[in-house]
Amino acid sequence: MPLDTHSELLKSIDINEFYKLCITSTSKRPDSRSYLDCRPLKCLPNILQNSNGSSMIRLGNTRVICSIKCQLAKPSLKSPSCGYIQPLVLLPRTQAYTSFGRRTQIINNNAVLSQTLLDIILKSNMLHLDDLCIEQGKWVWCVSCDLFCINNDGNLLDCCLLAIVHALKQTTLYTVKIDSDTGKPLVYTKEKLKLKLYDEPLCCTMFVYDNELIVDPTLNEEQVATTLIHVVLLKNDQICLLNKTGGTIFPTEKFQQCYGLAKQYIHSQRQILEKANDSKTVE
Amino acid sequence: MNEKNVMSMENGNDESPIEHYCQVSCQLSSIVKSTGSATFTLNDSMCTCILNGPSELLQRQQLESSKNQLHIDVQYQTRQGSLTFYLDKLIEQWLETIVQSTIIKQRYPRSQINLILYEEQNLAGEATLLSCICNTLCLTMLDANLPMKYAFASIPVVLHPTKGLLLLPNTKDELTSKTYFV
Repeated sequence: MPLDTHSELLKSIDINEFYKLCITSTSKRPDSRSYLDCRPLKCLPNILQNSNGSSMIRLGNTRVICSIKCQLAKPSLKSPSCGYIQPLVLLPRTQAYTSFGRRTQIINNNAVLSQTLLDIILKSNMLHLDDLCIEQGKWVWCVSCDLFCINNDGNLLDCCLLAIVHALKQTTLYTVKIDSDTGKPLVYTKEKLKLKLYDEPLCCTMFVYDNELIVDPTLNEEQVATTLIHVVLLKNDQICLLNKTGGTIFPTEKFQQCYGLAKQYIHSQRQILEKANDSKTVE
Repeated sequence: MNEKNVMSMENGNDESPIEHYCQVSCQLSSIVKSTGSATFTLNDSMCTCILNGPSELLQRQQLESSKNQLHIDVQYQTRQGSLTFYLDKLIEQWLETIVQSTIIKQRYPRSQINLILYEEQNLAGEATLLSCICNTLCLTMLDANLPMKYAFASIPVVLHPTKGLLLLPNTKDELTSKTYFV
């Protein structure tokens, strides 16, 4: 990036100062959004032909691709009628936000995001693992969701959750019949069944800067933020997950405000998701 | 110091107060060779934490930290060993954000603090364990004499299907609840 102007120089030296200057001079963020505006969201369904389901989400500059592949597996002894679901997030090493210390940062980031997504999927009852059972004790579906982040410009949890929900909506499972003589499964790739989703959790990320609640942070804003808040809501606006990190004091009225903002933001996300679902596949 | 706390809570609906027993015990400086350490027990969960630091950064770590800040390294290990990689990482990240916002970092530039936490016993559910870890962390930092902006504590709160919101639940109640806050 060219360091010609004073503001660009300030951004690379001390991002805190740059942000403070920007907010006090114009009461808008550096990319001229107001505090409650989110970046333009675009959802593309079924972009990969060889997976059971896929989607691509573009939230401003952040891009995430999700690919879902279903494979047959043997169930565990503890739960013989439950299938498996495994979300795995891959953030490439080039997208770390500091130039040093990339490896541990990336590994930690990936692990944390993957586990958060798994927690949200299981606890919101989005999928019933019993639905993934073909024959109890013998064959179940193992749904592996791979999320690949092409460009990280902040707000990864929102994007990843959107991508995985969108992709799961498009997922189709092949019909499987068990051969009674050999006991082996016969997979018919022409007959497909859609995966049943009971709920759709979506996330809204906000951060606090100077006692103001600001929605949808970019990467630079995440570094500057004192507190990050993630709110995940279900279809009926019930809270699935509420996570606040950082050490600022937070009165209860602010929580109500958070919930109200999250509801609004997630409603608009759902509308865009519905529209994208209805559109045809992208070539 | 070993204490057995008996807390009594008043339920808004009933007339008589309900007695609620919970066992809290703590031992500071349980491990001699570290800067600070603490062992904390909450009901059926026990956790130990060791803190070493602030110490000098190694050569490669100096290159890794681009600013002259305090480097904080948190490691968490469960009882079963390395089977639960992702969940450990999530807990580690959560604790790192707590420590980052608590310690007055300006006092120790270009240094590092190492925190190692391990769970010794967990017969209760996730909520009690997470609270136990959080409290152990605070007590360890106090034992190590680190300058902190504030002290913190946490208690588990669960939403039982019939009894409503319960603070510091028993193991039995906790395992039958689906929702928890820490």
